[in-house]
Amino acid sequence: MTQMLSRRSFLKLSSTAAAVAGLSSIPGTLGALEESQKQLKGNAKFTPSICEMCTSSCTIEARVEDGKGMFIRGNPADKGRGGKVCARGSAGFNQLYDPQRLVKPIMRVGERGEGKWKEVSWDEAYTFIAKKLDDIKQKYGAHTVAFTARSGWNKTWFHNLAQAYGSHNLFGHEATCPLAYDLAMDDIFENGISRDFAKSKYIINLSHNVFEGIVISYARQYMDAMEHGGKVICLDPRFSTMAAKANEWHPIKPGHDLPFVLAFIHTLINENLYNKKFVEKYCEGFEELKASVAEFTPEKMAVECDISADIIKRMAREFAKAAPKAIFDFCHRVTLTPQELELRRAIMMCNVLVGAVEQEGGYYLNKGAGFYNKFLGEGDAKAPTLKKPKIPAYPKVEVPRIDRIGEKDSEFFLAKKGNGIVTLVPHAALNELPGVGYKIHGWFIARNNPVMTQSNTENVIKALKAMDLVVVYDIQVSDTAWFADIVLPDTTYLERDEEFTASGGKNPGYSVGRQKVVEPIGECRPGWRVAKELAEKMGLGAYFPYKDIEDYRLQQVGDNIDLLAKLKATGMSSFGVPLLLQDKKSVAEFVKKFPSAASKVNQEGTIDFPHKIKLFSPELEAVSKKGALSYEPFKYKEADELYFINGKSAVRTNGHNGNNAWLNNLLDDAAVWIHPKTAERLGIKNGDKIELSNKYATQKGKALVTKGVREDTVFAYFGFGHISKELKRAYGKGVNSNSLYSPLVSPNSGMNLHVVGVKVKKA
Amino acid sequence: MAKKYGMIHDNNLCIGCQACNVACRSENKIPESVYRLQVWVKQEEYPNGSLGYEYHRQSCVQCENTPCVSVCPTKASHVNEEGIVLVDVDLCVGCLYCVAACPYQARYVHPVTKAPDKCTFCHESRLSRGEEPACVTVCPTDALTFGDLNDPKSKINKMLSEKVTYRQKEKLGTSPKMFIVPNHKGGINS
Amino acid sequence: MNQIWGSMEQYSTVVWHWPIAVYLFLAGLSAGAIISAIVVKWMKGNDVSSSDGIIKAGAILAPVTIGAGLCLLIFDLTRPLMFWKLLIHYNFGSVMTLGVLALFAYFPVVILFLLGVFKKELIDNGPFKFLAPVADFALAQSKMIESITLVLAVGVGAYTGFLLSAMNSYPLLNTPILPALFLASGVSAGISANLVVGLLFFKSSTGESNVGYLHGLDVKVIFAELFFLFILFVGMMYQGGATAHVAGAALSTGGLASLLWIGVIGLGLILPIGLNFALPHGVKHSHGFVIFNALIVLVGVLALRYYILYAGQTFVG
Repeated sequence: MTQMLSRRSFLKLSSTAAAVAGLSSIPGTLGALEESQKQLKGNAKFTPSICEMCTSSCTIEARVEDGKGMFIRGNPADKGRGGKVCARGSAGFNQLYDPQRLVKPIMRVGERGEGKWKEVSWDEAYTFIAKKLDDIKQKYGAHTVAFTARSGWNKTWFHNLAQAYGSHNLFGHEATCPLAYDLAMDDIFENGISRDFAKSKYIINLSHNVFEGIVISYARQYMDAMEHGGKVICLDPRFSTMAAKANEWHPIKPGHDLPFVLAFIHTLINENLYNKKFVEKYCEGFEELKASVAEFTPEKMAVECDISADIIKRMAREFAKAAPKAIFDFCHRVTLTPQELELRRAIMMCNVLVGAVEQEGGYYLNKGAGFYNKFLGEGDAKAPTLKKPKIPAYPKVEVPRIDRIGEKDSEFFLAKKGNGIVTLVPHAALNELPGVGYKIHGWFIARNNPVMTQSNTENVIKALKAMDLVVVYDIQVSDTAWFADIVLPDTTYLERDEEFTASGGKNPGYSVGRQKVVEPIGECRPGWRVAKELAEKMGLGAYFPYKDIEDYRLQQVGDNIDLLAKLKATGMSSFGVPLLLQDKKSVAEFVKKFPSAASKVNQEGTIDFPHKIKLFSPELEAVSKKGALSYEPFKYKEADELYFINGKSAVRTNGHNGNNAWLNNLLDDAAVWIHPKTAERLGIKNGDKIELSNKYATQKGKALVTKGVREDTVFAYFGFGHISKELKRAYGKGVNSNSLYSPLVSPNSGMNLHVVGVKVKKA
Repeated sequence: MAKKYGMIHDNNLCIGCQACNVACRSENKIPESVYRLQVWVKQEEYPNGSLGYEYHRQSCVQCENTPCVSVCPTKASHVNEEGIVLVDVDLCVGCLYCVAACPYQARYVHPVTKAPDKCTFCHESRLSRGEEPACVTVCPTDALTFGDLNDPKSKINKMLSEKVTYRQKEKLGTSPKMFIVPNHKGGINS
Repeated sequence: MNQIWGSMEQYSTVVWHWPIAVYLFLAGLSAGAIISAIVVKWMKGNDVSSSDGIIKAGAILAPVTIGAGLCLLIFDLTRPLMFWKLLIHYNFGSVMTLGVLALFAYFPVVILFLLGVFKKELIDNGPFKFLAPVADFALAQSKMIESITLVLAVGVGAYTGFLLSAMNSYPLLNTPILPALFLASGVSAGISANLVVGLLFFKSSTGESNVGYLHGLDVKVIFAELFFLFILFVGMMYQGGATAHVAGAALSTGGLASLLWIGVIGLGLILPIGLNFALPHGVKHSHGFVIFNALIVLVGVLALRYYILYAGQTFVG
């Protein structure tokens, strides 16, 4: 069922500025397209898909309505998300008709960052990129081109292309987001873990603001927990929405979360609040942990983090009492301390110490098909796995990656090769990193915006300007595309089908990935097609043995037609029953469903962990002498400066959708939060124009005087101060946070640091 | 029995994320410069010194005793059988008496029709299809409850009997059908 | 918290702007002019000399000002081409419908009055000879028509106040004193306008006693206006709570408060009364002073309408 969207209704739906913008649009954007080419066809039945407005990638359903508009809601079949979407999800429709969206490939005709472009055909674009890649391969080697693709979209295609080309420098965006907790999980549990917030009775939250950095499933679970008497403690230098909903808010000193957690562990151990039986049976390294935290008494650490010793001790006691229905939330954000890995490991160890793992209300291991199947016996059906098409072997690369992952002594050894340490790419372009032996000469960036999202904007721009080739694949001329040689137009998520995905919560789950709701506008092409066509241009077509996405999907499910049908109909499928290894009831249910799993059940009626949980890391000790926990005080700022921190707003996603008309209208200029006493001292009143400056940059903003931030801290929402002039609505508005942060890459985790010192004065 | 639609906005579940704001705009094709629905977030300081956020849903509260309908000279502003306050654009002359008379500032002048417009519980779009209003459908934390106040078994009546609710400006006698569950941390600003 | 919900421009509480203030002024003036013209015609034995300048002034002013006001109103509508719907669709619970109906009746009768007063100029010697039977009817039934006109004029004068007071969203407007205040000030404006037009354009036929009478009547009406304003604000103060707060703000905040004290009260009410008692008899009865006095009263009445409309919509507590 397709409906035509009439030109008249399209114009009615466009922003009032659209007509004007269309007159002055740069080549390649929707505004510059001929009217007749703007018509599109859409599906009037609700189509399950996945949102792309942020990385939460919530399930959605969308349909074209009355041939004129589109309604996006959540997928009702998804119990965890309840069929809901947030403001950004609802505004996704806007991406389709935005006159400032890119619909044709464009190539720069001036200097990088000058903003002069010309339209090119896809063939010209492919030819150009293929030639340039070949040039670099001949001159420096294919490995000197870094390939970044956003997790949740495009990694499958572009990492495949990269390796076929001969580069092993593959990256996702993780080092600017959740990488540290990924590493910590792998180190401690050798598996990913999730949090059963809904059933928890005591949650400690360190700046994990799920109500503004909305993750719908977490937000609902937190609400659920609180509605059922769960207590939430929020430690955050600013009064966020999480702080407002929580039972207690403690303004912890920015960058000093680790001393708090260390003192917390100290209390758990020294007041004998930990679960001795659990630790003895399932953990190793306890003695080393105990020794390493001996000096981090609450009294000493209270001075560091600005939370009193009494409060730290009280929380530890309450936490232990609530266990196993207790969660120390290990959060989800770029780091607030260079000791990011220690911090996440320390947090997770708290849950381990009180035995709140694999029971209701605590942590649980992610059970994808492979892991889940390990608990099934011979006679039971196994969870299906998605297959990958057969491709030729990749060319071998002899030299190390720039993050040296894969080398025995790499400090980042815990990171997966598909994630990498993307924050090193700018550094690697400007210098030969130790132990690497070459510089990066090219960057192929698919749906990532490092100029906006990596710390120290100046450094990133310098690196881009130094490279031989910069290719950006995005839906708009983003801040990074602004400095590119060629920008390829991606389809919006409403215009493409993607591959099926498999994941695991308490049991394996599968998703349809994204599904097309409307036909692509202009000449936008989806990732699976761009990678394939570019590969064919480069003679690497053998690595893409599928005709189109449907063909690829069929190859993924193999002969499992049931799975295919279920995914297409409702968007999701799962296998088996939820399994919590330490929960007797859950284990009993599991055995009922899979009788031959009975052999895995132990005497207590639970199932043992497959590996020992590590409270001390021999590998980290060998590589970096950081097997135990430690605290290294770090100088974030000068004495006469204020801490500058940022966070997420509910109506924005980092660097991605600031230019979305509806979202921009909701909030286009993030004011800087400043405490009344600090404001008075600096002679600043609410609404005044102010200047934030440090050795990296100077940013202008507006003051918002509020008690909701520490006296020594100023705060601004992230995702403002856009640099690309083609993001006309968002350009130049608000403070660009990353320009003020240092280019530091944290040891062992590679994450950027989002605490820095700034001087504030009236502008 | 005819339906009487009402809605509850729970201040404890509301996080001010504006999902409702955007979904309403999307579903009802609201022109860019105006809003049928916003959620205002205000920082409060409670007597014991602690801070909080209060969430105010700014939209038509669907009075039973409607000031806007009483003042409309042509009956363009009217209430339908289901208790929803609507504007019949064909009868409207644009005198804006209803806009001025509304104590909740729920109305705005539609840039295209030039007649006053406001939240209609998605009457013309979703209700006619048997669906709940857009805002209720998308709210991530289920802060909105919608239903028939005349149905004793409806979800909204169940919630009204279980939670403390109040309505804005009750002293004016407008008898709104938008109920508010107050934030359990602060006071009530009726 | 930042303003993350979008623009708040549409929430300005000021919905009705200066065209409405001018309309209220013109409507009040029209009603007051015809009332004072008829009062003069009845009470001073002026039946015989219905060509008195004051009466002539009132006969012209009433339809012209109400006509101008209605035109202003129509163009102020956001859907002006639909204005005629007001004439065929009614909501008897709405003050606006009642006003439309009252004006529907008021306008023809003041035209009748005009035709009667100016029969010689318009019909005998003028271009409207075909309206002779209508004018004759007007003169023949003058007492009845004038009675009906008086009642309708009081209605028109008061309805402008009821229009605003019917809204409980504005504490300063939602008071029964408003219709009384508007009627009084409308009469005052009508008297003053009659005096100005009468003395300027129909000087020869304006009787001195009529001028003196109206001037004296105006002073009494002004006292009534002052009284109504006093009990309006003092009453609100004593009501306490939000209402008292609104009253306090309205009396002391910004340009509007200045307009009230200087324009409305100072220029339009206190000064005329003060001059009336301070000046010697000769001066205050001179035509020049009477016209000057009438003009400042008119300015004061317009300022009152403007103040009430804007302050009422601005200070909402």
